[in-house]
Amino acid sequence: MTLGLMWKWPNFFDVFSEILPALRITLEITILGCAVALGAGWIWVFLRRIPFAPLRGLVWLVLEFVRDTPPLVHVLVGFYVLPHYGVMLSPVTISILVLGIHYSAYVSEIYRGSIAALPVGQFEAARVLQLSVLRSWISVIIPQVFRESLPALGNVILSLLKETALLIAIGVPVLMTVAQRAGERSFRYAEPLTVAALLYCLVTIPFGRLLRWVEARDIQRSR
Amino acid sequence: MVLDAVVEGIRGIPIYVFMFYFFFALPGLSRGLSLTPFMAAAGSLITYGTAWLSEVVRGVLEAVPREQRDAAHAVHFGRWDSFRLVIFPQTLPVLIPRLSNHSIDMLKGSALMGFIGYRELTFWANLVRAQTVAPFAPYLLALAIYFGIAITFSLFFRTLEALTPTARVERLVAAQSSQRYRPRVVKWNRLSWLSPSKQLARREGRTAP
Repeated sequence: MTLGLMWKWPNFFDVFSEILPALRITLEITILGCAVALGAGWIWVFLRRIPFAPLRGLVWLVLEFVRDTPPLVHVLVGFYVLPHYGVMLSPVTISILVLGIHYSAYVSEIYRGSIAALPVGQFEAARVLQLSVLRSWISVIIPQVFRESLPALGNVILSLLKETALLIAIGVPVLMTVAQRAGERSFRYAEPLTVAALLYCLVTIPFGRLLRWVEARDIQRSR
Repeated sequence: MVLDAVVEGIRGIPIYVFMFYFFFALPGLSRGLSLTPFMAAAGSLITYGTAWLSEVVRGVLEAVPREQRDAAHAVHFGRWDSFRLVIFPQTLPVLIPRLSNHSIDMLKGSALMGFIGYRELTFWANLVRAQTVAPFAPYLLALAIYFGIAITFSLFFRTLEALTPTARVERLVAAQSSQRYRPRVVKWNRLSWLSPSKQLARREGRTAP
């Protein structure tokens, strides 16, 4: 193996311009996946409030299953198994759906925590104001829960962004995949993988800082 | 400062990038130090896991009120004793669930190790899928095994949690108090979608106005 080649800056800049466009599809998948997760999180929340215990238990089991098994296997199931049963989806759609549903399980836990932290007075006030259940959820509970769980949701978004790297398994051209392909072509892995790592950091670190700032501001306000 | 930046950077990069970095890029950078797939896989999990856990432990330690430390100092506990007997036991109720989640994250992170040639569960599932006509069975089995492992982990940490001093105190309090605290549960029925006045009207048999 003559891989003993050191770092080369020209190669670094070449690969950088090659990998940079992949940031776009990574962010697209992240944003759409988050939309799925934030929406489906509410579905889980309502399913877990079904007033029939055995069904509720089943929902809990499914939720745990989605949360505890690797998203990679879900992606592979979507890619290899679903076409077998006549469901043809593009790799990007599969990845959005799978990551969205996987993280919706986490999101639903966050929502549940925020709902539990709401004062009971909120529910009672909505009732006193003669709001129907649907109305009171839409205009009283859900907005407060969203604001309450914003920092935690931000962390989920960050995890989702990082988890897009596993889409290399089905060849979606996210940062990781493009970097790996560039490495395979030239047998020089150090530069493209470093570029990928840098680009991930470029998004995650400022976003993480922003989240911590929001969190600190919320704590200060509540004092 | 430097360590903070390093930890932040590691936490900002997907674990899969580390995995590929250790396996593919390290030999080139270090002039021939090549890792076996297992070493690369374990190395990436360890690097990522320690960075992640250091943040968790720091957050948990900072959450213990400052007064606790002062109180331990006031009763003449040394640094080690105050940590061992006062600070650490208080972090456990928060720390253990985090550890449980973390162990499951590591389990899920290990699923991509097949791509650097370490033959783990997903790798075999993929191989069997490629060689048979029934594609769902191997994945289903793999999912079931992952789920089994994850449940074992969380049962382990659940047991650990029940053994902590905090949990023991809570059990004692629960056993001694005659009345158990029951949070009010908002139950749904088939009239819940109406406003309260309409619900009342329906219940009394009047038609809604």
